[in-house]
Amino acid sequence: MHLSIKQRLVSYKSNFLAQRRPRKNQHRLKQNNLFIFPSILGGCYLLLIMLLWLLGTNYDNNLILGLCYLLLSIMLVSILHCYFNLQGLQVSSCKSSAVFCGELAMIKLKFERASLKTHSSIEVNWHSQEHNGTVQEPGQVQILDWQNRSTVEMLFPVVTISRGIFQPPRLTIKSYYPLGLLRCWCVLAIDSPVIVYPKPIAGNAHQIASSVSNSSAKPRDTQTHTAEREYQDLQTYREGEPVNQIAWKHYARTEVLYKKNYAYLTGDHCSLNWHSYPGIASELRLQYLCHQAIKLSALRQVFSLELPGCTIAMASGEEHYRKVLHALALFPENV
Amino acid sequence: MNNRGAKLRPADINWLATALLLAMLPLLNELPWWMLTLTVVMYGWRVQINRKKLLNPHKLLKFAVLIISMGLLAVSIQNIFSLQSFVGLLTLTASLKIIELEQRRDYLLLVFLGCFVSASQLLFDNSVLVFGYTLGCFFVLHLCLLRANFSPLVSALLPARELRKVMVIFLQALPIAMVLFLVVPRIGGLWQVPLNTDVAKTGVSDSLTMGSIGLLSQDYSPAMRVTFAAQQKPSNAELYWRGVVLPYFDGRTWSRQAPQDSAQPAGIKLLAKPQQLQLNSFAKQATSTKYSYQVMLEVTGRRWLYVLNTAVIAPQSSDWSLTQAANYSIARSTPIVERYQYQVDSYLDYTDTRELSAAQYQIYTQLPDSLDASGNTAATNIKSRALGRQLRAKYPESQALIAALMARFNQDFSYTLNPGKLESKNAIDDFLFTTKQGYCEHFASSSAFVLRAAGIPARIAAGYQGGQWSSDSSYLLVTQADAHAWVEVWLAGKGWVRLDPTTAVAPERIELGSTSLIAALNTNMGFVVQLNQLSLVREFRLSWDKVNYQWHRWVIGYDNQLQFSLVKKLLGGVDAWRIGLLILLVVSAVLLPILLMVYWPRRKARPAPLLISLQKLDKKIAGLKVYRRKGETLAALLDRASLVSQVNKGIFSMLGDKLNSALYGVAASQLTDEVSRTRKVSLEIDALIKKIKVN
Repeated sequence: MHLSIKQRLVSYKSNFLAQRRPRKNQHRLKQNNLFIFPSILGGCYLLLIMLLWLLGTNYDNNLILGLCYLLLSIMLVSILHCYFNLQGLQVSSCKSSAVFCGELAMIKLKFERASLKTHSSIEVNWHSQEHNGTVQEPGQVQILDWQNRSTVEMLFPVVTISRGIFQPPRLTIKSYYPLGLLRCWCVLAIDSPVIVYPKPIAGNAHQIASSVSNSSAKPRDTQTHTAEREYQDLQTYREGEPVNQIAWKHYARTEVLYKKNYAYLTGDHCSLNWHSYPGIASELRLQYLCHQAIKLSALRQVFSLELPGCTIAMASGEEHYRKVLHALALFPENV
Repeated sequence: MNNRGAKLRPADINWLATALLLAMLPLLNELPWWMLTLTVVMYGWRVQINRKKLLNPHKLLKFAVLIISMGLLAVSIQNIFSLQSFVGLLTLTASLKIIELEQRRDYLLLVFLGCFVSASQLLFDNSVLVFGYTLGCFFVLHLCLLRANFSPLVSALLPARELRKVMVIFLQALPIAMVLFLVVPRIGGLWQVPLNTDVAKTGVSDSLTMGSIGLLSQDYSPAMRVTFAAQQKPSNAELYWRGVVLPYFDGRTWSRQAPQDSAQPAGIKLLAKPQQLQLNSFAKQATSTKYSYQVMLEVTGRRWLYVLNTAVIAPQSSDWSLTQAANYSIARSTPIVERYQYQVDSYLDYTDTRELSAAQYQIYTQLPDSLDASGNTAATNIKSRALGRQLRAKYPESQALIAALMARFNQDFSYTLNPGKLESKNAIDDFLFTTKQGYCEHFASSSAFVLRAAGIPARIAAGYQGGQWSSDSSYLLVTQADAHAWVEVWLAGKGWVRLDPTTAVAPERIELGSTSLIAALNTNMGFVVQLNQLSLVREFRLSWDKVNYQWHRWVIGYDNQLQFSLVKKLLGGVDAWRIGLLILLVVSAVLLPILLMVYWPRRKARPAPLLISLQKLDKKIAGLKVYRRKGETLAALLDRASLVSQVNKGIFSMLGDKLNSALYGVAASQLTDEVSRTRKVSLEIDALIKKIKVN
């Protein structure tokens, strides 16, 4: 527990916020989630007012005092302007696509403005957040540019750290409009779940071999045979089947589309099994399996997945591939 | 905050430079001219750097410029510890900083410096116009502040919209600022500050040289403004604003101090406080009217004040710096370098019957001797002296003598503003026996001389006579053109008595006031005077002066005392809660419209006519105990309803058809557009819904 003060503060703050501001997929900015406080510039402005007040008081100059009160009133009025600039703005999450762990998740957010409002100079970025003892730096500040539209969709990249369902950090929306004297901001927890697949890591040949042999009934070293790409017999090609399995040579001869049936494909379908990596940490196994799934899917092969408590039958195609990756991503952590 | 668009746009720099130049412009009166040039050069340099035509100046060069300009400033401004040098330094900082204008931080610093420079011009001039100008500068500076908040990445607001935003903020802030101005208590100076002592001495001077001015200039700038208490309005002939008394005459010039004791500037005997109070007792006769009035004196650069005749400093006046001399003139311990207000009481009929001491008698009857070329003392103005002696011999009674002298003036002397120059050595002789035309100075000076020659103690009093009442008679404006000089003579048993020889020559000067007289006198005085006489111009001048007077009275002169009485009058008391309530009221008066604007329930968009029909249907079939289920199509709902109520089966099937055609049908002809078609169908549907029979 050797956390620096800053880390402790950030941690305390995020706990506090987590209790007070639950995650929602839509937020409307209003008085119960907006904060407002003088900015550094505002502090300087107050200093200027004080200097002018001293000047006016010492010289008994009512006009300078009057100016000083005018500046004070401007500061007061700009509190309202600053608040109403943000008030009514609506933020909602859009569906974001899944990523592999370690990649940048692009969180898509939709900003919708309250009718008739311009919402000028609004800055949006991620709130710095404590995550497993490390403080994540806030991301790049983006500025809302409405360009005369009523809604704006923006992508906010955020680094994913672990596999599973990832929730983005809190979002800071702030504005110094109009005079920069005040900072009005809110920290929102946006419910925008992103599925993070395990990071694909290539296992060594032995492990892959064993995984395949384990899964199939008759032991056979497919790794050596795949290179030769021997096929045993031809079947007529049906629409929808992978194009790269068409026997073009036969087509040239016969003008009939045949499909090459690779021996290992027909014989034993590839099965990705969690149990084929004995003695290896569970996360690492998932990463190996993920790598395998990517590879097999790229080859447009049929494969199945077996995880403790979850089995996905033999299939191929994009949908199957996503299903497999989801299963890997959502595999419970402590098994 | 630092991460927001650190680089500045060229337009920002232009705006800021404009604002700074605007803020510095009025200060050129006080500051050397080269400061503006320096600002323009720095700005030009900066623009060239931004265009990559010039390089950033080297550190040493910048330092050299700083040192040189500081030195120049020290040379240009004589007194280093004065207000001018303080403002000069501030302005110099702002203009030199322009060269370093690179980042947003520099920009903001300059905006704030600009605010300070602009405010400091109010230390030198506090007229309405200058204040308006300063407000304008603040407006532009806040516009710069607003612009600084826009990131260059985003399409900026249009200039018109930026202007509008700042305007709105200013308009909303002004009422709050006014209330703060009214109710926030003034503390008064916290420490001694160098005052702006470097003012030109204007108005009536402390010496009077006869015939030195050939032509009296007509200066209509205000000298003072007077508000009388309780609607008192003395007649014009009573309005002698006595300022300075000139007892010493050296043959040419009447002066306040004896020429020999110029080393002792306060050669005037002061009255002690009890003696001042005694003055009141002289005046307390049954016939006396006490005039209570408040005078706002323009900057004179001199110490004396102007009052009606012999005044008593009002007891409620807390200004202890005022002193009254034995000749009744009132002076302040420091010169009047900014507009000054004082409250005094005057009794117009006033007799101080005390005898003159021998020394005083000697002073007030003294006539100068001057040295002639051979070194012997020779008397000047011999004819005038002889006239005095003749008169004395003829009229032993002083009053008769004075009357004879006045009659002489009345017979063959004339009043003119253009008397021409007089012989410098024997000016009085020249006037009395040769030119016989002049204005108040000539008449007062020569009368006093002749009276002294006749052995009557006499002295010159200088000040103003008359004034113009404002259009609503609320105050009296005295201009420099009302400057006047008259004689005071001492008569046994009566004390010092005012004698105005000008009345003998031109009584209308006193009765009507200088402006009307001059208008009557002159048709060939030149354009400016004529312009001043034009009634329209005069009207304008008077109403403009009224604005100025009210401004000075209520804004510039708004002090704790005035604040107390005003707040008390407005709120019925000065308790903290009343003031708090007032502030709250005003703040809410500003806030309420904004809140209403934001939270006013907006009329919801009317739902489509078909949706309204659907709601009607829902309501109707609820009577049949049929409710629309979630996810149920209309057809399914109508089928279900038909099963429940066989009576309405026909209607339901017709409704189904109609709804289908309303939703999916096409316009019957090109002429009917979609909107009118749906409206028509929904009307038919509504009619059908009405037909549904509910038990």
